Amino acid sequence: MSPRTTTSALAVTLLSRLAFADEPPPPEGAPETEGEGEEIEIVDRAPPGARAEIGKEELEKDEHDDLHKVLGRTAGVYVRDEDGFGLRPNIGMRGAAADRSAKITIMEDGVLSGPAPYTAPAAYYVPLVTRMSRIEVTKGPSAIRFGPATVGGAIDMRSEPMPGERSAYVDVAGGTYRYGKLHARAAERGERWGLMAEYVRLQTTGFKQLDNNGDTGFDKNDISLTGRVTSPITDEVFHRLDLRVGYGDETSNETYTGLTDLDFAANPQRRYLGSQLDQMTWDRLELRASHRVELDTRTRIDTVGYRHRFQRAWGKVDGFVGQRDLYGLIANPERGANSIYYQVLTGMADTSAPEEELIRGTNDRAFTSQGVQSQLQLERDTGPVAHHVDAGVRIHFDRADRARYEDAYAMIGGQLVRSERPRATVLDSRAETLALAVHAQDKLVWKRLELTAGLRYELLDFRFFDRLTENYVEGTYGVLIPGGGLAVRLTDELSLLAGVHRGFTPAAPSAVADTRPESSVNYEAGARFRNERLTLDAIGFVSNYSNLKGSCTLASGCTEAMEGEQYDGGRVHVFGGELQGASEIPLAKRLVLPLQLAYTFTRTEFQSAFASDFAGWGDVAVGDELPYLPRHQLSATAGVKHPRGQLDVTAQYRSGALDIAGRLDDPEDPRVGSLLTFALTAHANIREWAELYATCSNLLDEQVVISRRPYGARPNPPRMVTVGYKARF
Amino acid sequence: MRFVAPLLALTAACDSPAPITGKDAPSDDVFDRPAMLGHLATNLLVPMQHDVAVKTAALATALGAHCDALDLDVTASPVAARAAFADAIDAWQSADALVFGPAAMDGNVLRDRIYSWPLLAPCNVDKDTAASSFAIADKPINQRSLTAIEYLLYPPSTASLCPIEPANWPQLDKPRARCRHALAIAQDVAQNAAALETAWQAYATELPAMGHAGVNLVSDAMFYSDTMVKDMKLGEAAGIVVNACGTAGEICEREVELRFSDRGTFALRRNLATLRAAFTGTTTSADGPSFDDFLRAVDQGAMADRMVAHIDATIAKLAALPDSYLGALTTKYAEVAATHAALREFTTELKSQFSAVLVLEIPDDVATDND
Repeated sequence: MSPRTTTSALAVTLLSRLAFADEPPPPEGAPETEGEGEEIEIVDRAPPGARAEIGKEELEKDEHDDLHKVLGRTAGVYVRDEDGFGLRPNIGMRGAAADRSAKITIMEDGVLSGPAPYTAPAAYYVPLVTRMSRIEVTKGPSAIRFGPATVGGAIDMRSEPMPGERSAYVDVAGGTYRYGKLHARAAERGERWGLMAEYVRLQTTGFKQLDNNGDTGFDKNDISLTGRVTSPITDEVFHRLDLRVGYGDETSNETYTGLTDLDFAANPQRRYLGSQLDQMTWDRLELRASHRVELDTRTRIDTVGYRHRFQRAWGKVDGFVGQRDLYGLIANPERGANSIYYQVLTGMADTSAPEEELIRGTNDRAFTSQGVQSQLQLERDTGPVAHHVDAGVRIHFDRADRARYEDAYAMIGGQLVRSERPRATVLDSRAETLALAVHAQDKLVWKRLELTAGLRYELLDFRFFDRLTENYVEGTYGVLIPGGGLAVRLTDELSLLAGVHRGFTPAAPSAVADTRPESSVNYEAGARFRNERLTLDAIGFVSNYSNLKGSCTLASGCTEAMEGEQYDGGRVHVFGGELQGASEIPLAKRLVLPLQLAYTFTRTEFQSAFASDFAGWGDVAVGDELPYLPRHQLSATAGVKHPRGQLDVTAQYRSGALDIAGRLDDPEDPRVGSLLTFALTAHANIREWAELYATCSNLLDEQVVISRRPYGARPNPPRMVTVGYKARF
Repeated sequence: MRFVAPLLALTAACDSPAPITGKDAPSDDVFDRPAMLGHLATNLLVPMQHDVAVKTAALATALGAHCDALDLDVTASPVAARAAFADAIDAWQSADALVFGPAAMDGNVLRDRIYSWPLLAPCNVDKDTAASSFAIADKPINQRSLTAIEYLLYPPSTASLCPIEPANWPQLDKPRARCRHALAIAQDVAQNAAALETAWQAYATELPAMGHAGVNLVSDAMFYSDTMVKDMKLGEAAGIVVNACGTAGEICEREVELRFSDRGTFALRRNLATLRAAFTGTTTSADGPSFDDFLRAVDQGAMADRMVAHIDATIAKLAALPDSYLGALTTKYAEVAATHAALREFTTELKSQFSAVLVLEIPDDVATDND
């Protein structure tokens, strides 16, 4: 944002207060204009470095409930499908592993949303994307404003802002596999107060086919209530206080068990009878108090106190009493005694020996995440140089209570029957982290030059106690995370940019004693083009890891006893390029052709040879590539837009990737397939306040093996069709 | 809260790189690993495979004779056939305690074809018997091997163990049918035992050249004493650890090895004898280098003595147990528990200091044991 634009923007801040709303700002680079329900934010929306924003219009157009699908159109972001609905997303950025999104920072409204982002970074919870108004993806040096993970970047999911007047919204949809969605929102506004309630329910019977026709779907609910009070608009110093309480729950009949290659070829959607009891349940309570004070039109402080409580229990078949390696069993079902266990797993044979009893392990977890954070944003001029300062401090505490118990079941006539083997508690631990994070960043703008320098400091105090072994570990460490960037506006339309920052991911308290935090130096350089018709970013990136870290989850293929542990992977080089563009071409009167393109090229190389117990790495040779990182990823969208409606088609391609570290050019190394899918979305504005929509994902019903973790081949979702109706009042 | 630590010092500390440690790090000791492997192959492993081949062939012969006798007289005594089974299973129990190499390849396929315990599907065996379905090579491993032969030679009764009796079970001439079934399996076992012996003769020449990796194969195989002997044969059967019956401190018959023939004690004695031979290098034919000498070569003589003492203590307790393991589990529970405890002393050291000192990987399935 240029100084002149900033000034003009700030001039309307007071007007925005009159509207008492915080509608999202206009797209980056576009002139900010006043309007009903709009507030001008002084947050720097154009930091140097790669950044992407998925706005409300795009989110509503795609009608996705799955964060994977939303982010699949963003260059530099990798997603690894698992359940087909994005219930537990696997998102990585710029080479950072996607497993449970543990290497990136995910927030809702600037607040860490994960169950325990420091102690247990695996994101078994992410906010419902369907209730978001925009999603901000920050990569490059600007990522140091967010933490704890700064290697890949940060994703901030911005929920629906408080509207400026009484309003209501309803979205009802249904589709294949008995998909159903109800999304309702209502808000009431007074002169100095506001109240908004929101409810979302999603449900489906699932696309997987259990051999006994059991339900493989899920249902989830999300309800929130937000209240707001403000100071009088005439006050010189303006205050705003938001109080929010939210509750969510989910019951999903999800499994970690996939298929053998032979069974996958016959029916990719099949699910073995051994997984018939698999189910995840969770509930989450969220309390948040947000205060904003605007000291003047160029100085703002946002302070948020938050507390999240998340409890989940996921019971799923993990193996047999006599064969705990379910991954190996499904990978080689004919090998040795595996054929016996395979017959039982599929229900083709009954359990006939104690060793053939199935183990259903339940990972029972309780997480607490709470803290207070305050962020200062101000703009000042020192002579010809304009400053945009962003500084913040956060004191955060999170805790993970992990328990795991195992029950044994006999397969008898296709039914799982609880055996006499008593329940075994195999894990009972508590881990917690108290973290202080401070950051400061200044963007200096002088003529056509923008220079950004920032520093983040994280100080972590952690402890871990294993109640079974009575092992106790504690420690404290800190890390400085510098970052800086430079942008030169060659013309009003074309800029060159470059940046460097340190990447960091904390070591989990449960990690073995000599595991080091993940550390890297990340570089980027590229060009940015903006005019009325075209936006285009072409950016290259390099990440030099001094120590790549592998985090053990069952999802990543680790055993239950290894879960929570972390492994050192040593030096790794990641490099690649991103191309992100969008354009709208007028076709005829009131008819527009919108185009979008996102392409990511990624290469990775281990720089040392070692043998790892981390399932995703195994025996690593110098030059081996990281698993589950496609070299090529492309998303292209074209459509026709008219005031009465819009039709879009999106093609997405992802090249094949390795299942464990190895060489893509070595056909012997196990891998997952490349995938090309097409999606259609159509919207018809039947009234000014109502619209009908229809979506079809995976139009050609193409299914490939997209993951072999944790246990066997798993497909991407098949063709799914949804129709819905939306109304705004 | 310990936020008082100097910030810069903490930052510097977290930045300091540390080397990656690997279990295959080269060792600078002078212990002669090829000599150890050569000695064990020549004087322990190959002779054990030969014994199995001889005894399983004899079992097939004895079963053939028994089946012929049954054809003449349905009351013919199975004593000779059972004695041949005892010889064969004892021979295998010696070998089973140190399975690696050819027997362990391709998911233990040869091992399981000879002896598949703990996998046995008695009902399916009954169905095969009833249907005279004796194409053994096509059968799953829990319907073949010495495990199934034991069931056929020592049937608990004339009844089938199927929830629903096989169609022609009442009319079946069970002694003759079971014998013919056992004979077919025994012939398959003998073929596989012969194949294993042949494979071992070749493998024995390659083993010494494997060096440290070969030593690790032997140490991996010794973990049989932990997972199979301590945990399963002793712990689960006696209710010392969680078992399929949900019992604590009392017998769980379903978990008892060789429960039909009640030769569990003999099996345990054979297992421990092999463990001792492998650990000390003292076999019936020669004394040579092995793990105790390796430990002494790295100045861990005390550990070697301690571990041998633990093995000897276990062997002594097994010798004092009744020959009937079912009887021991019922009337001598304390002695069985003491045997378990004695062996645990050895296995605890095996999976901790022993592996660390000799820079040996431990198998994945025991690496996370909470013992």
